[in-house]
Amino acid sequence: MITGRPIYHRKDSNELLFRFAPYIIGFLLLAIVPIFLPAYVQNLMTKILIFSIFAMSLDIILGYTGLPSLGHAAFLGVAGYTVTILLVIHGIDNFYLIAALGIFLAVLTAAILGVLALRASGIFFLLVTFALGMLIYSIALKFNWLTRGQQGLPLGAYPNLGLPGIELNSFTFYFFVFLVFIVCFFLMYRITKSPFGLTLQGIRENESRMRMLGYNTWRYKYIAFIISGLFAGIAGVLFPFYSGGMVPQNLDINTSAYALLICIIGGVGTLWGSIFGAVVLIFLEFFIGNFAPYRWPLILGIIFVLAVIFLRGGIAAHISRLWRRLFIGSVKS
Amino acid sequence: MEALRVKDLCKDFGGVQAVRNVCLSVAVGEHLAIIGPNGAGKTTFFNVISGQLAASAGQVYLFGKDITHLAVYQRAHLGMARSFQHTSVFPTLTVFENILLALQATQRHRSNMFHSATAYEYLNAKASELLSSMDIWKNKDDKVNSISYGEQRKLEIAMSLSSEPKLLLMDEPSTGLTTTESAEIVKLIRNLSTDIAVILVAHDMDLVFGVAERIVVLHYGEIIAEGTPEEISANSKVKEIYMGDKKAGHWK
Repeated sequence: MITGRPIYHRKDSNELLFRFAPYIIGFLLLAIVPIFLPAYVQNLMTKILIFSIFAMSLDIILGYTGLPSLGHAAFLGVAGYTVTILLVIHGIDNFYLIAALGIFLAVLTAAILGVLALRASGIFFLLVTFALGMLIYSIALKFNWLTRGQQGLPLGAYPNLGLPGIELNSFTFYFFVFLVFIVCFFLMYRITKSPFGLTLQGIRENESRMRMLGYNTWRYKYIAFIISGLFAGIAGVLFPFYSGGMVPQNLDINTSAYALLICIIGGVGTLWGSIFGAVVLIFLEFFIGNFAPYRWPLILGIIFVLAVIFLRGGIAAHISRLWRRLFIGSVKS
Repeated sequence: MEALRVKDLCKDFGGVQAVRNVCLSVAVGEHLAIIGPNGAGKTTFFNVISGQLAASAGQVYLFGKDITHLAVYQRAHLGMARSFQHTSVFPTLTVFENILLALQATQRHRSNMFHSATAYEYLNAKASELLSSMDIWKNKDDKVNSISYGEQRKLEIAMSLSSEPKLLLMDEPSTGLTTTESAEIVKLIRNLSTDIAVILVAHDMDLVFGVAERIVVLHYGEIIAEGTPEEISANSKVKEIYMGDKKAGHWK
């Protein structure tokens, strides 16, 4: 058997710059622009970053593994509720502890739901994840002793990082979320480019062939599902601090479908596409919500239909085509 | 030594017996062809050996190990590889990614999450060697759904060779290829390392007679003849099945 370790060649600095320039520009924009924006827009930017993490985590199973999930809000909700309950009811304000517990429980939820959901694939996977997501929603709704049910759990604080001299407020919270976002993005980016990530794409394309090649595809799908739950859990830990607490509605089908829409509009199978999807959808929701608050679901539906018809491959496909046309001069495929 | 032994293998689909009591043994390095009219059960037989379908009865042994109840992916790690009749590749990935997936499948690092999939130089070298031998290295950065059918066939075969199998199952490898390309496949199979056993299912008689050392004829799921290419082409029962007439004469 052939063996060996991975070898990284030093790349031409121009090539590296070319490859990473879009990321650097994008992240600099995200880091600098909010400083000059009014508070309510900044607040929207916080939401964008949290939902970007959430949608990217969904994209790992939706875009890379080819498993459309409609219950993703469950992981966000489990982590969000864990953090809120520990903080509000039990008064534990060590952020690292409650965040770790929240993420752990989200991963555990994914590990349990994954066993059930991965018995199905395709449209049946969608239905099973939907049902399981609604199950977690009903727990949030009905377990009054734990979640205070419909009343919800308000949260008026920002994470206590325990660092001297740093107290988060709505302005600095954005940058905290931004840091978490950068770390999550690069971790997920690495995973999707790794042998494991390639394996997931192979499963998406042709699962039976992958099995014949020697992959235990179930195991890969299961691990992908758990990783997806992990990152959704990270988004879930941040979420209640942004939204000011948790209500059962945060876990329902709307939140799951919202993430699905962000992925589809942004470009399924492209991590950074989800960021664009989140930017577009969340800004649209805000502005349209201002004009016609009761029409938003209708308009969202229209946007979705238009995106499916005219925006094949999402925003990401169009941007990367434009990028190549501008800087390479030819458009391939 | 035996690479593969099949004992009393049966496969039923409801009332239909697609494979009936097939016994077969393939030696290491032997090239065996399975022929038979459409519906003879050739592909079903392949699917049972490779594990896509569960056997209704009987056993399959790979290098003396009973693999009848092993999962498909486990068989790959024991040295079995298969190419499919209908090209089975990863259409929206590039040719290079396709071959890389096939190569890393039997490597320990296939579950690694933190290195780049393309940083394993020894695999890249192997990929380049395999793709060049199939004359599709020039397509390495093309998406598979944008290359020609013939090139996809070649990729399919390159992928089935990438795990360095000891037993290679090839289902109609020359489907959709031109005569010249088909002749290349013959050459390729002949040039395979002498310790690789090949089982071939094909309708293309040039291919069958070009590579097979032994031929097995299946008809309604049963082996009705077995022998060297010369014996088979002289066999009257085989002529009858193929030509429907005993007096049809030489059919090759």
